[in-house]
Amino acid sequence: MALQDKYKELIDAAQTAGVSNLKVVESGGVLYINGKTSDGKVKDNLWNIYNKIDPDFRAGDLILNIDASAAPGTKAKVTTQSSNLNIRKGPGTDQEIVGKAAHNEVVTVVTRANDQWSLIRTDKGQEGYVYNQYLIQV
Amino acid sequence: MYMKKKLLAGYMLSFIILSLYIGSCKGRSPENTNSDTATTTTTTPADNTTKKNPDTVVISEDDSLRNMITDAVKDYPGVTATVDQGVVTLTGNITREKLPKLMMSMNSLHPKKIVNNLTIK
Repeated sequence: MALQDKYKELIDAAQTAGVSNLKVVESGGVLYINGKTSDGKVKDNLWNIYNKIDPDFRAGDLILNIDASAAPGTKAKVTTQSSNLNIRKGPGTDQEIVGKAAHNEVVTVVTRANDQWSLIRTDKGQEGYVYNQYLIQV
Repeated sequence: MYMKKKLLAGYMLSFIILSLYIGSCKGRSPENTNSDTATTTTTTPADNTTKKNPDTVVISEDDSLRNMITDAVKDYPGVTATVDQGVVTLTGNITREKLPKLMMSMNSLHPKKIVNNLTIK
């Protein structure tokens, strides 16, 4: 229970923000918080709280998995640092690059291949797989 | 007639005792198998149902973690990630600005734990 107390502010914030499928489980000295939100700002806010409670994420006692990736059929914005996002033939960095999506470009999410990769389509009609972490629902 | 009734009552009593005994055994076994996966253990029946369901922690296999990590650290030159029994250890250098995004990525891969030994520049 101690870890749930340590990260209470984070758990409370997730509940207040309406994170869906929220699950909080403590096991083997690690707290696992899983949930889903359609708002990228909610995810960022939860991570800011995490960083405040455990500066630079050094304690190794929390796995925070808040899924804010865009749902199939919706639009998503490319959130790379500044560079273009590689569009690949299949879900994996070993797959051939078939195109690029620009930083801040808005694309359509076609399907979600797995937790890490989604099939997207650009406005120019280019289709392929991109890494979910670089997409945020708009 | 009286004997028959007594016999019937005896049958019923032993049936009830037997079913209670079986019931208690059934309740015990899933608790034992789950005891090391979740520490939020209570004896209320309501909690038992949640424990069997998605509340148990899903940890990725090492091979699958290694594959996913290759994709995840690709955009962070200078960062090395190793996997051992579900524990991801991060070493190398990173800027403080980039750290949260890397951690978000790592946290989404269902590791058991993340050890952050990165030097922050």
